[in-house]
Amino acid sequence: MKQDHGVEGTASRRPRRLTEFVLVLIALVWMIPGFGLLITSFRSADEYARSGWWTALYRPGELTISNYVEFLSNGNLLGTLGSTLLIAVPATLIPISLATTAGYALAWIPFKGRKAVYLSIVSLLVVPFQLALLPALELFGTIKLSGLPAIWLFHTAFGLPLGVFLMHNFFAGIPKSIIEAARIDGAGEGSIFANLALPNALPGIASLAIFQFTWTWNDLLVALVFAGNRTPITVAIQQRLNDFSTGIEVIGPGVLLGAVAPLLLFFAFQRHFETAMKTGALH
Amino acid sequence: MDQEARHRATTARRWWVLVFLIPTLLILSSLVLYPALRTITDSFLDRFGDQYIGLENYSALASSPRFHTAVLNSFLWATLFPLTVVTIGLVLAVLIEKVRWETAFKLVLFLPVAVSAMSSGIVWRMMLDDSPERGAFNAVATLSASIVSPAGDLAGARPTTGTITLNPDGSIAFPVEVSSAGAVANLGLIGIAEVDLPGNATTANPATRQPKSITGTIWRDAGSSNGQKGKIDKDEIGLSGILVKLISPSGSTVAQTYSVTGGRYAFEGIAPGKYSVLIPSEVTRTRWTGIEWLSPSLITPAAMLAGLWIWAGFSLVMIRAAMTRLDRDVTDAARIDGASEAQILRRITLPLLAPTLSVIGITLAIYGLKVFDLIIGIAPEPVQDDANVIALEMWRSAFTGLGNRGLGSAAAVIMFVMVVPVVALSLRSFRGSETRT
Repeated sequence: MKQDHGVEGTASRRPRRLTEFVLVLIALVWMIPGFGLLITSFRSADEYARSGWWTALYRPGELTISNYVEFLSNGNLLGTLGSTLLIAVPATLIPISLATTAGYALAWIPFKGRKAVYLSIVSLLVVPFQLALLPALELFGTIKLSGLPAIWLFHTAFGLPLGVFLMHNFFAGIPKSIIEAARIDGAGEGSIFANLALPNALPGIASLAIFQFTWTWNDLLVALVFAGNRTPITVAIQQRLNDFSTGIEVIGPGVLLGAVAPLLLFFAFQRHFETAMKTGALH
Repeated sequence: MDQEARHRATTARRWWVLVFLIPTLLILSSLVLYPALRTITDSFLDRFGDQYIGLENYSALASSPRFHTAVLNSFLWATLFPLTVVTIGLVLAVLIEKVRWETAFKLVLFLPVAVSAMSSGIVWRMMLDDSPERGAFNAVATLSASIVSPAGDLAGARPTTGTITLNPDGSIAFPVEVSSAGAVANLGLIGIAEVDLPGNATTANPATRQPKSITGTIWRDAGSSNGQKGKIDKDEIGLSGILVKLISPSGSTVAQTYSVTGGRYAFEGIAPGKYSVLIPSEVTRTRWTGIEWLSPSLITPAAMLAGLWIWAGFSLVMIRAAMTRLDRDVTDAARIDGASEAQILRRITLPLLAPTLSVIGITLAIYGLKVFDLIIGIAPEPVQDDANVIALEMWRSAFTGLGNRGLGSAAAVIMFVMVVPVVALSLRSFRGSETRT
């Protein structure tokens, strides 16, 4: 086969060129929707109804920042972004703190029935949150809980099964000798958890944070049911969908501004996330 | 360590277990377990959750066409959708392997995951807008179509009188019998767009009969206020530059010509007999207006297209990560033994990737069964029934209009029944891949 190498080299270069061309084309196609939205958010509703966003490429004069000016000067709309943040941050931090502590206990503190508790928690992954909406709403009603705390608790509850599963797996990956050594040195479980286990599970925590934050930030249905007058940006957009072409002045900037936070988080935690994926811990 | 110290350590540990686990267990039992069980019992109650009505909610769902659509669509979301996304992810993963800008490519495809599903739906609603003037997809599609098969000079034209026939292919035929004195065949047409009228439009010019000839006028048989159909009235416009063919009874083309100013045309030196004057279909061919993605029959494929846009990057990244974890030695050994790249892919790489592919597929199937925001985003109100999925149906019956607690609960239970087998499968393959690594 060796003598063929030169021939093969030139023969395989052409398919590679073709492959690269196809991949560039695919990447472009993948970027077009986002690009189109970006342009659309800088056009008026009249222009939107009259012509496609690409016409702005050869008539850049029609582009305007008025949608953004209006969005950012409208207290209600700006408030929806604030509500989204007020929902997503605690709805990410609470389940992470609970999932790490529970995951640690289930991985390293021996007690009777540990395996059964772990399996019951993980088996709750089968419950779609839709199955709990109505009774949970009623339950919150009887204990007079509504708005933000209700959403936090509900998101926490449905983030926990996956969170406990992921964190348990990460903690279980820590070599037993390290934990044992710390115990013999007299360290309590609290300090082993805080000083040993947590730092070792950062990639897992980062992945969980990305999952949970993206999910709660982007959520529509849970907010529709529990938010009350704490309208997040997704609900504000949804309310304008029925009148799509006039609503576009809000929808355009809203969708773009709403996508900023998850993207920032993704870029910030990208390295941890990749580590987690490479080790196969997310499978 | 002496007995007492060990005892103290165990007691302390017990406290830590309680502190670490109790909040989680409390929340899970009150907000997941209890509500789930409650919903199951509620599904046998009436719309207010007061009275036991047996299986009535379920039979109401079973006889609702809207619910049938929801179940069918959810089934497609749980099967066809993951299959497509995994296949495309795999193809891309294989293609990207030898390319140097792999990271950039993965990033571009992965980013849509971060955007909310509703926003993705909205973006694609704009992209797939039916109108080629506003939807980018149809703009490109109709532009390419108009290059391959351009619209005719008289797009959409049709005859005004019964003596002239409009064939199914859009061509227009006028049967004539020619004697030695010749014949006149006037073709009056309507349905012509203003833009298709000749720039230097003149009034129609009636043709005169000539020996051994077929003469006639092609004109727009409308536009005169008190005109008659089939008659060239004053002020009606002649259509010049139009291709006309003369067809023999056997169907072959005897001659062809173009109409001149005033709409007149002439076939000269024609032997007596029966003919047919034909305006061919390419003249009347209308402009293709693209694919109506947001119409009832295509809205679900359109939504899945948006879903593919969101998830293809995830599928690609996961498959690539698994590929780099594969043992290089095995493929290298096969390559040295003379195996072709295709053989290596089919016999070695694919079987080794199978667990990863199934994990991705199952993850996407679960996503597919729960899809909701995406449909809200992409489907305009009038076609929401056609894009219906089980999660949307659950929300609509429980929370919109008057709200029907029993019916909404029953829909949620059916959703649960569809999700359970898929999640059970996923836990099995999760465990499988855990022991593997």
